[in-house]
Amino acid sequence: MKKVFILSFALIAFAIAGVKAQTNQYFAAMQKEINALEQMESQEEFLTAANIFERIGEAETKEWYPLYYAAYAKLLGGIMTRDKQRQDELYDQALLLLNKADQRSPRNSEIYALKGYVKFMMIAVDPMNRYQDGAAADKELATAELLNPENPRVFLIKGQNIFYTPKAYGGGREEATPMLLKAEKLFQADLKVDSLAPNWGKQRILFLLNQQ
Amino acid sequence: MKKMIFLYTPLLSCSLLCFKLEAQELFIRGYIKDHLHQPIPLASVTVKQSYDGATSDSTGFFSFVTKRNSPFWITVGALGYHTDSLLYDPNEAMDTIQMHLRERYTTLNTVSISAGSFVSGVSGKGIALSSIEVATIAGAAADIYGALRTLPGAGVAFGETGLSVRGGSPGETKMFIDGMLVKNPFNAQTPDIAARGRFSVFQFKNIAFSTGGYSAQYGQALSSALSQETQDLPEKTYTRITALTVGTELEQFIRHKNTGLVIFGNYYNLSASNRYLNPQQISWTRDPQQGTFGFQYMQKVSTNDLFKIYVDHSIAKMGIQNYFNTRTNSLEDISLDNRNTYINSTYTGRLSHKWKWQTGLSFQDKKDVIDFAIDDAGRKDQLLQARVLATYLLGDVSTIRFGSEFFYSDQSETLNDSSRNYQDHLMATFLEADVYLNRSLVFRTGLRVEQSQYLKQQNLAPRLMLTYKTGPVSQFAFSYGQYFQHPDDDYLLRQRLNFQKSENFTINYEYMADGYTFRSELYYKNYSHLIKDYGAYLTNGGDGFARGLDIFWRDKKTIKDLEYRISYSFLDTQRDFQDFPHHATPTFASKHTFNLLYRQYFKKTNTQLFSTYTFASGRTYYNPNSAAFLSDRSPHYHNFSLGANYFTNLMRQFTVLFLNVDNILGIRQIFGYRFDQQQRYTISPPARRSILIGAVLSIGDRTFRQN
Repeated sequence: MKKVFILSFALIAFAIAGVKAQTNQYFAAMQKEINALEQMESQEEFLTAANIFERIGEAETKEWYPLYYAAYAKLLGGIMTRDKQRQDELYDQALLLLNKADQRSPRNSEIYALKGYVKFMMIAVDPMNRYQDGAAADKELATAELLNPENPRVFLIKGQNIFYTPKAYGGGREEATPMLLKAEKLFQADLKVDSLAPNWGKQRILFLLNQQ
Repeated sequence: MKKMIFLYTPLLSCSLLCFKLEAQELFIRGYIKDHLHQPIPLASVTVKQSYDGATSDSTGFFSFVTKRNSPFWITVGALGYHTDSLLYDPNEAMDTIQMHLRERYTTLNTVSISAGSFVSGVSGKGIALSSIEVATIAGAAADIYGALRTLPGAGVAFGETGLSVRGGSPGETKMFIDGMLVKNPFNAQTPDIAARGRFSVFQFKNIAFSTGGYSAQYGQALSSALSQETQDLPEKTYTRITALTVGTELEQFIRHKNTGLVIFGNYYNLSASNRYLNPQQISWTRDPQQGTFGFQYMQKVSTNDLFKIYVDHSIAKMGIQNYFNTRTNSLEDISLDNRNTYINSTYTGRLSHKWKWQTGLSFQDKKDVIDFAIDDAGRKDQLLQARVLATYLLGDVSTIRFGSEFFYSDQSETLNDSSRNYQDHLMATFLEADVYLNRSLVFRTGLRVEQSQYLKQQNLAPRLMLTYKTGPVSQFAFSYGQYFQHPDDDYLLRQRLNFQKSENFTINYEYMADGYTFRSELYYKNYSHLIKDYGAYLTNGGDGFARGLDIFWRDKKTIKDLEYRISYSFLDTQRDFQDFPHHATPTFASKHTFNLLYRQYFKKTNTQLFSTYTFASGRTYYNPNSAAFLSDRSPHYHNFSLGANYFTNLMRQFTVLFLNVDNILGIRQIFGYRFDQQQRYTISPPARRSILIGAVLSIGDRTFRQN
């Protein structure tokens, strides 16, 4: 009987290890790609990363991180390209991914914040004709702030938008500074929920604050 | 022992599955291409339900490693293409995979049905004329009609109200708002003075203007349809105040969850402007005054259903001294009082992914009281319209549209003690299909049937348009259509007549790359059943033709923040209608029209500068002293206008200051002449030079924040 127990125990342990190996695979793949994002610069690199994240997102139907990062990579890919039509395509896709992510993780501050960022970038494609979409973008960030008032990215995105808005429309460096300083403080205090949680933006804040 | 085997088997299989032990390592590679064997870069190749996969490079090539034993699915997807899948069997070694993806039709990559049409609004394709662009056309002073007149095919307004398109009279262009006909899109009209459109450009999110034929959804216009869509729910609650040298406007936008309300009012009085800023060439006994009050209510009944209702009422008054009365052929004082009520409500809904529908109900009531020196005239114009439209999506982008509309109109006219009137029931049904044969070829075919109870006539109007995409940014189009229109109310009040008819043929070539737009169009219009006026009676015996070429070039790219537009129209037209003794070129047509527009934004100073130069060759006018009818031509027309916008903030609220000067050089403009027994009178614009200054203040609106 003892042999039976040891054997069953070994098999169960084996099975559990198997399952754990799969989740380890998830964490490892995600971590690797998230770290790689920091170094990327070209549109092709960002879109390849987006594909990888999307693949993981299709396989892991409960996780929202892959879809979030896929959208983030598409956003960055869009920012890196000059072709306006491509930008529109990528931003549209990013929004679709974020809507799917929202279904997997509702009332998530990071998702709303990124949605707001994408919407601001959509306006930047053709500001003279799309300025009216600003209110919708503002709303996303307001929701993001409500869901997590300590989210540094909310203030980074809001501050960045004000920074690039001409002074006549109520924007500019001085107007943006308080918002950016708040973001910086929150970045320093930011305790990551888990190793995959978004923590981008620190460099961006410093870049904006040091602009003359 | 048996029991133990039962226990072990599931555990064993579970652990094996969990580890996928001893799976084959496969090296998978191949090419992703489209149906024309062109490589598709950045396509995503994925082993279903796994992390394994790759992204194709610029040659369409991809490769990756995966560990499998049994057959598995590989899915391939790329932007603009339908996703495809392939079942891969590890036991049958496949050398390289070749996948051909089918293109997905989207509005971005497909040929567009826009031959002969100018579509504005962010979602519109074709020559985009956004509200800002319309508002910043020098000389137009934010009047939709003034702005549209700078497009090729549309003629300069020589004192006529409305849009004269390709040799058609201004009455041949009709305006539609949210699909509903607008019978009176103008403020009080007096001949020889081009009236402004009643609606502000900012009330609309899309403006589509066709010069060469239009959809079977619309009818009752021989030349062109101007179709506008009102804005949707305001994004937030805020106030907008406009102060002008000619009056003031106030708009309150309210947003509450899924309902929106816009309340507006305006009052214009030209006396101060006429006296101090723009000396008038005509004498006013009563400077023009006008006031409008109204609201628009919108409700998102569900995610896909939207209800809108627009209501406005306006009053206008003006009086002119020494106005040329064509009835008595003498100069008289004239005084005009106009009242106008307009109600337009629509409900749009979506039954499913494939079915959309829309219903509309509109009511319009206009009353004019005109006092001449001796005579008193009055006009009443009422129209009730009901409309139903359904749209069905075939495949990815092809659509079928069908619907029905009913118009009830009641017209009456009084002159001193006598009066006459008529009522008409007009019933129309239409069916139209936009069929995309592939990504490069689309044809639109439509049929419209109308039946009028007063005219006791019906008509059948076929319409066809074929568009072929010759390259990634260019396309060719051909269109043919028949168009019918009721004779003018003035005629119908005297006698029952038949529909007037026009047949339009157009050939169009368009090139639209990023920032550059080129459009050229050749057209021929054949008119028949036009109204001939013999005094005692009228007939439908008139006819005519119009043919010509329109060229348009716009460059938004060469110089940053600078846009310029050049357009040229050539028009050769003759017709025999009204009281013409024979065919002649009508007085609203210019042989050559040329427009040059400039617009530039100066970021550093937050200023925008724009200017327009217009040339139109002299048009014909009636000279009773001339041997030949309509053989005299007025002098050529030149107009140079300038405008500027300055963006700033007043008390932290977004403000725009603007200036608009029409005919800044003060060139003497002569539209034509009128003759009485003794002398000749010149028809000129009301002011030699027209200056408009204004400020728009938005309170509680930060929508101008941008990256």
